[in-house]
Amino acid sequence: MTVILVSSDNQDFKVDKEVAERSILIKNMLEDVGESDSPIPLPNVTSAVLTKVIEYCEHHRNDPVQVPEETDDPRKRSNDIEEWDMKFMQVDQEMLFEIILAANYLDIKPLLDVGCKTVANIIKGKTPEEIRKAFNIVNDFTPEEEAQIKKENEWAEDR
Amino acid sequence: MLFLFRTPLPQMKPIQPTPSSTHNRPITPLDISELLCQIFSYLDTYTLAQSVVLVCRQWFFLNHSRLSRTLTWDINWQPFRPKYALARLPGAERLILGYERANLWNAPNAHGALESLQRSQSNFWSTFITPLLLRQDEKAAHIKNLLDRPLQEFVIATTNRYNISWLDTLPFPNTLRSLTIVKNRRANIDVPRILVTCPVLESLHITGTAMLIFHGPLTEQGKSALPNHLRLRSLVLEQPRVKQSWIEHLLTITPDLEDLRLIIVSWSSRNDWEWSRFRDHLKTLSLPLKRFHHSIERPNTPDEEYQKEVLAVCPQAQEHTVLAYHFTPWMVKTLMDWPVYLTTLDILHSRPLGCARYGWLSEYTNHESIYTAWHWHYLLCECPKLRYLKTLKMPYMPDYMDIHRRGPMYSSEGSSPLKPGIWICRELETLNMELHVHEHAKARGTAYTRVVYGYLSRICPRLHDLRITFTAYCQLNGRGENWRLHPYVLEGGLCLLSKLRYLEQIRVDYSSVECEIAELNWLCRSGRSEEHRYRRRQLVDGWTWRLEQEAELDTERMKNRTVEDEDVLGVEGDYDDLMSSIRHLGLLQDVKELLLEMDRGDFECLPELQVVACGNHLPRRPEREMGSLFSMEPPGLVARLADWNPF
Repeated sequence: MTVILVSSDNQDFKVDKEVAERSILIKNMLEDVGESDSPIPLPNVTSAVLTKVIEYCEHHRNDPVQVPEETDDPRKRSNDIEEWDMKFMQVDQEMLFEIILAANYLDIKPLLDVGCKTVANIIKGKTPEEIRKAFNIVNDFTPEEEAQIKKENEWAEDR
Repeated sequence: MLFLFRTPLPQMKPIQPTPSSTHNRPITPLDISELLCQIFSYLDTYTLAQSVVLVCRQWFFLNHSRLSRTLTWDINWQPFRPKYALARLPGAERLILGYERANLWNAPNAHGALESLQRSQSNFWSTFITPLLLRQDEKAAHIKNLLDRPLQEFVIATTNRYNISWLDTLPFPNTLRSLTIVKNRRANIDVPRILVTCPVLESLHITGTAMLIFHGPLTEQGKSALPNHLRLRSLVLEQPRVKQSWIEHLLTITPDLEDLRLIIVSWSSRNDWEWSRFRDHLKTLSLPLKRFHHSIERPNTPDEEYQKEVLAVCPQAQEHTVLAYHFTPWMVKTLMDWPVYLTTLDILHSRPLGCARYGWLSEYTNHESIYTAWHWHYLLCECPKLRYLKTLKMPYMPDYMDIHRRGPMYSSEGSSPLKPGIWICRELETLNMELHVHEHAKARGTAYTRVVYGYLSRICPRLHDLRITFTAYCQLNGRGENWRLHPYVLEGGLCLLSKLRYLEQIRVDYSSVECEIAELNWLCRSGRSEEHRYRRRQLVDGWTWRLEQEAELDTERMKNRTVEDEDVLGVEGDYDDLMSSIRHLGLLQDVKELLLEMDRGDFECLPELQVVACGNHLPRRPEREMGSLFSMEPPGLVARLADWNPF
C-alpha cells in the first residue's frame, strides 16, 4: 500500500505506507483517517527536504522501533552515527538544519537524533569564536560578562 | 523562547537574556530551545563549560543550570596547588579526592590541608576551606554559592595504605547523595554515623582490599542509632567486620535497596556470620534487588550449594560480582547458562595474590589454583551471554591475548602451549584490568605490552573507559621486580590504542614513566605537531634491523605453527576483517604501521579522549598530564635545537 505526501511547494511523493509511517506524525494521521487515498499535505517541508527525508526512511524502513535506553549517564554520545547515516548527513548546513526541522515536525526520532548529533560534532573542538562563525551567531556578551563567565568556568580546566 | 534562569553568578551583574532575533532569515534548529538542548545533550562537560556557554547569551542560559561542577583533586598531581584547587570547591556538586601517603611527605601544603581536614570537628567546610579563602574577601559569595549548589557526590580514593581514621571526625555534608570510600588499609569507621549524618544518601560504597571494621559511638548504639527509613538504593561493603544483626536491621529500613554487595564479610569467633539466617531474613524483606553479592571470609573453598543460593537471590541479575577463588568450572558453566545477557562482570581479588604460572595462589591454602586464569579466558571467549557485556573488571593473564603465539619469538623462557581464543565481548565499554606479569612474560620485553594494547584496540573497539594496572606484587619463584616492563615507550605499543574512537578515559598504571616525551605525547594535541612526529619517525627508523630480524622469526613461526586462524577465533569463526586487523599482533611492525597511519592527515587520534593518567593517580586532561610528566619545552624548541649550528 502506498500513500501520497504533498510538499510545501505542491510536489507529490508516492511512498510505501511502511516507509511513510517511520514518521509518527504521518502514522497517527493515517490511523485517525483510516483507509483513504487522500494526499497528505506537509506544509512545513519543501520537496528538496522531503526527498532527503524519504531517502532516510527508505533506508531505515526495517529498523526496529527505538526504545529509549535507561541509563544513569545523562550525557548521550554523538560518536555512534552509522556510516550510511554519516554520509547521508554530509549536506550543506542549510539542508542539515532543514532536515532537523523536518524530522522534528514529522516526529522521526532517529533522524532527529542523528541530525542533532551531527550538529554536536560540528561544535566539538571549536572555540566560542569558531562556533559563532560556523553558525553565524552574534556575540551579545559584553567583554566584562565574557570575562566573568570564563572565570566562573575555570574549574573545567582544573584537572 | 524558554530560558532556564538560575541564581546569578557570585560577584557578577546578572546577565540578561536577550532572545535572538529571527527577522529576515528562516528559522533554524538553533532558534528552538528544545532542539538546542538536545544538541547540547551530546556534548561533554568540558566543551559546554569552555566553549558553548561563551557563544552567546542564549547558549549560556540554556547550559548554565545544567553544568554540574566536579572538583577533582589529587595530591599526586604535579604541580600540586592546594589553594588553587580548593578555591574551586565552593559550588562543586562532585568532589573526587585522591591521595597517597608517600607523596604527602613531599608535599607540605598537601599535608597541612589534610591535617586541617582531619582536625575538623564542627564544620568541615569552614575548617577545610576558610583558612585558605579568608584572605580573599569573597567568603560570603563563596558560601552562598556553596549553598546554592550543595555537594552531592564525594569520592575519597586512597591509592596507597593511608590511615583514614580521620573520616570519623569528618562532618559530611547532609546533602550527599553518593559517598564512595576506597580504602587500602584496615579502616575503623563509624558507618552508622555516615548514614545518620547523610539522610538523603542513595549510594554508599566502601571498597578496597583491606578490612572495614564498624566501630564508634553510633555503631555501639546499634539499631537505636538509625532512623526508621533510609533512601539507600546501593550499598557495597568490602571486607566488613560487623554484627550480622546490625546489617539485618539496616536492610529493614532500606526498602528501596536495589544493589546489595557484601563482599567477603569478615568472620571471627566473636563475630559469627550465618548465611542461612541472612538468606531467610532477605526473603522476608522482598527488597527490589537487581544486583546481589554475598561472600564470607572462610578458610575453605565455598561449596556449590552455597553459591547456588547466593545466585538465586537475584535470578535475573545482569550484573555479577564473583570472587577469584569462586571462579570454579561450575561457576563458569553457571554464567554460560545464565538466563539473561550479562552487562557487568566484576571479578575480585580480596587481596593481592601471589602468582603462579597459569593462575594465582589460593589465599588460604597457598595452593596454586592452576586452572583459574584459564577458566576466565575460556568464559570471555566462549560465553554467548557476554556478547553485550558493557563493564568488565578483573585480573588477567595477558599470555592469553597472544593469539598467534608470538611471545616465544622474543623469549622462549617458560613457554607453554596455551589454548587460543578471542574475547566475545566486543561491545565492552568499560575495562578495568589488573595485569599479572609473570617472569616468562616479562622476558618478552616490549612485545608483551604490544600484545596487550594491540589486542584491546582491535577486539574491544567500543571502549570508553580503559584502566590497565600492572601489578606491583606479581611474583614468581620469589622474584618480583618488573624492571623489564616498559609500558609507555613507543615500541611498547601504547599508541596502538589511538584507534579507539570512543575512548574518553585512559589510565595506565605503572610505577615509573621511563620514556621520552615524543613517545607518549601523541596522547595530547600538542604532541601531534610536526616536530614530535619527526622524533617518532626517527625512533622508528632505528628499528630497521630489528624489524628484519622479527620478519625472519615470524616466517619461521608460520612454518611451525600448529594453530590455524579458525582455531584462534573459536566459536566466532567468521571475522575476516578482525583477523586481518590482528595479523601483526605483538610485532614491532604493528606499531610501525600504526605510526605511519597516525601521520596521515585524516587520522583521528582518540577523538573523544577527555582524561589520561600515566601512573597511580587520578586522570586529568591530556595536556596537563603530559605537562606534569615531562617539563614541556616551548613549541618548536626541539626543532630549533636540532637545526642549530654554532659554526
